[in-house]
Amino acid sequence: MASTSSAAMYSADAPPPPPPQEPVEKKKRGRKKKEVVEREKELKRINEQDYVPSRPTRQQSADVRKTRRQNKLEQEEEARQCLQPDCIYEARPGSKYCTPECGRILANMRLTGILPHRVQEYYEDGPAGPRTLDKEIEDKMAEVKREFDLCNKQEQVLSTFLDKLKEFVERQIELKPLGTEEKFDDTLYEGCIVCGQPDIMMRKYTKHIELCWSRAEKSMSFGAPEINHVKIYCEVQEPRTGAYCKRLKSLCPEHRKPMYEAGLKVCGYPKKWSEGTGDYTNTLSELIALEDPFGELGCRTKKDVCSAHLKWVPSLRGTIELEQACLIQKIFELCAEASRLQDKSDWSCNALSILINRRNAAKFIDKEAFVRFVRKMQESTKGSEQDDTSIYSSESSSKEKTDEDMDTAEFLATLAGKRKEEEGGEEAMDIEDEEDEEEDEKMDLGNTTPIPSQDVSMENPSSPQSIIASSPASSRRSSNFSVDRLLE
Amino acid sequence: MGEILDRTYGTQFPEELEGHLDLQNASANCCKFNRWGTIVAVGCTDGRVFIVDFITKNIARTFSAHALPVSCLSWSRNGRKLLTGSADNSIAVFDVLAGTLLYRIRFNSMVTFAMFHPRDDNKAIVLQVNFPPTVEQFSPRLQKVLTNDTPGSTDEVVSCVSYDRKGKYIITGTGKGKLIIYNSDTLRCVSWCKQNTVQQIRQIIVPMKSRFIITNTQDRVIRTYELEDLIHQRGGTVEAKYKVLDMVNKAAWKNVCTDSDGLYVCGASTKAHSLYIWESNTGSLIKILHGNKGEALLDAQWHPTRPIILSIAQGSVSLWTQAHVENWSAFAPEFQELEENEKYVEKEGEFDMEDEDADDDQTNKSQEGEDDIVDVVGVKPDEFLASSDEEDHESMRPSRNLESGPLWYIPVPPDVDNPEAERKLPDSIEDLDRLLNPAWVAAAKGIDLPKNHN
Repeated sequence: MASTSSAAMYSADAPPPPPPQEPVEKKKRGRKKKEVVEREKELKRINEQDYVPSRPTRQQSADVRKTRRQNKLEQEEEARQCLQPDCIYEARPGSKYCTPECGRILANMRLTGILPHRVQEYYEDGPAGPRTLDKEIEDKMAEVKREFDLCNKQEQVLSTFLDKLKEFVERQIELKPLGTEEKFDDTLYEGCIVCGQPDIMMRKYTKHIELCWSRAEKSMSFGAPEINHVKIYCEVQEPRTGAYCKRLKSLCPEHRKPMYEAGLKVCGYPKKWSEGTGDYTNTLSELIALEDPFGELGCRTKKDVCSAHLKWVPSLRGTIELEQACLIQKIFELCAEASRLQDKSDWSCNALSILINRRNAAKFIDKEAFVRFVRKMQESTKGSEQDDTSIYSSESSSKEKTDEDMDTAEFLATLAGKRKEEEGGEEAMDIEDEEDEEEDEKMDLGNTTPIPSQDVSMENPSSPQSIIASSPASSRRSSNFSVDRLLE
Repeated sequence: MGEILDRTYGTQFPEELEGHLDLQNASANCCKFNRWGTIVAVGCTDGRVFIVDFITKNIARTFSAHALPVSCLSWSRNGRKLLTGSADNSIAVFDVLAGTLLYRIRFNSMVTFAMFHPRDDNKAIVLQVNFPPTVEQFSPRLQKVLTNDTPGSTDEVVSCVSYDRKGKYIITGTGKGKLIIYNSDTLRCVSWCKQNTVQQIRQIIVPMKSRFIITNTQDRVIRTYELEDLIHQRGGTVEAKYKVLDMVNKAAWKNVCTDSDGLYVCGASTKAHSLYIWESNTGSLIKILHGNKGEALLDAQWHPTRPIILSIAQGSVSLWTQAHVENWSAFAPEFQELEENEKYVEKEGEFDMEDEDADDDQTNKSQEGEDDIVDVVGVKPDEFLASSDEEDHESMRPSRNLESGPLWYIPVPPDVDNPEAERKLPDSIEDLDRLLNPAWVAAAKGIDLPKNHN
């Protein structure tokens, strides 16, 4: 009994192995005893040793379906006609044409058919047309060039200033110190701006700030992995990280070596500056541009003792290097701007862009023409019964007979205008214009080329349909259908 | 609107630490709010200045202003210019919206204090180490030195300087405890007086809205004077109207700031990271805000309108605000907060459409207010932001394209990666193959593509 029940349990797909023979109980009538029922249940219960063929999972079924479909596709791919209008041969598998030449002929037709029209449209005068855009781009490029020139000039000026500084310092190397020193009030205190220490004597203030700042800077690292070859950065390679120190060269607290001012025994600060004559108080840019920014004399105090002019040469050089760094940043931004403008002008007026994008799909409405049109519609609605039949005839013969198309278009406009004269006269005008355009283009291309017309009709249906869709009038639906039939 | 409610009903000083400003690992050492408290300028020890929008706490602009640490900041009245002074002996004026440097002027020694004229951003006052203060004019470029002609002051060095609230006077404090007031246009001495101590005056603070002057002296006392009293002095000793100090620890003050009304005075102590807040007219200590131990405070600034304090210690900027307590009873007068669920029994006439017991004339009164036309379209700047002598509210509003008018906020365009930037036109026609659909290209060339290529 166990074997029969187990055989009945399995599905037909996976026949079970023949069960071991057990004494078969005769099938009794009536309800089975409780123990028997329970035993049967036990045996029926599935454990790991049983093989149960499971339903295929979703993923597996999907895979099977996909492979079947692909196989079917390969076999069942319908032979298509080559898309070239004059060709009668079958297209190659995986392609739309029978030979590359057919493809080229079609592409040629496409270009000669659409491109001149598009180019003409593109170069029409209108707001935001290509001519204004080009002019704007040119102006911006000219501006960018001017800025570049300014930056270059400023760079020159800064370099010459540095040279003059070097000269001035070198002139003072031989001088002997005279020993005069600034007097400082010993009761004056100031708080440090770097470490926050509240009471630092004025005499030691500049030195303290210098040391404090060096200490703070050393705790921050300023490296970058590439070397820049610009003179302003320190560019000393850290042995540990392999990064180059990117601090300003004169002010780098870790890697600074005193340059030409090492030989200086006196302080050397230009007297011209501390005496405060008119020239000096100008802004730094003007100072830099001066012919003789330093004058003749310098402070004669011994260099290490002079606390008023502590380390003035590195400080000045550091400021100049900061200016140079800002210039470099500006030049970088200008380069990015120039390349963006170049891209923009490249991509706006090449053949590919003009071919793909269509501008100015909706024509602008001339007020007088509109008034005339409305009047014409009002007159023509008086005799409109005989136009009913022409809708149906237009469906079949839309492609060849263009005069009928024009009539139908006009009639549709009339219909639409008649029903919604007060609100929608403008939109009817648009629809009429759209349909005129479509007919013109169809005439150019010939009627059996789905792909090029796809380009055309893809953009066109959007415009009349959007106009149609936007109007809430239900009466438009009739014109909607017929326009669709026309476009096909 | 919320600020007006806070003023009349809420406490006016911050009570707890809210958070920090993120400065991209730069080490801050001074900060300044603009006139309305919408933007904060933060100067760092590496010479950079960050302009942070205070509402979103995002960095709007970064200026590489100086090569050495920034020592002081000052906003112009319309918020469009920022003046920075630094230890590299120069001051710089930046146009905040454009992000460009307008002027850089070099001095003989480190600049410790620089401030724009409160009403005219063409002038500024600059104090350097061991030199007399100078009044600078930017265009046309002019520099005038403030001399000390008062008797008995041959050796005195000016240790702090400030404009008064309206820019009419310049107040200087010397190393011997004297206060000298000059007329800011003519630069002539108007009056001078002595404090009751001969210690150096470290700082002079002028609150935005009140008539007081506050001095921070080396003897660790913060004194408040009324400006009117000082103007008429001729060398006498003047008593402070109010005085506050730290009785317990006798802490020295690195910086003092006040809220805009002048009701509270906040002192930043030098030793520990603590901010002491006193009520200025009684002199009683209201609150001490403690930051992390072991940090030294560098600067403290009170927001111009809200009860928020920014404090800088150890390179990071901390924000102190009021504790926010939810008060649901404020929404409806009969609102009661329940501890546990209760079954609600409604009153007899509670949900009736009409009030049966009410008298008739009550219904008429509610109609009267409805005829007033409420202006919901126009934008008027809050009047409490205006100064007492500003009549024209039109000039207080920025223009649409931000070209004129005060600069309340800085627009920051979103960072959009230009997807067309990588799309370069190919150099030759053969390269066009890369741009087109590979299936078409293969078919045109007669090459078979592998079937599962997609």
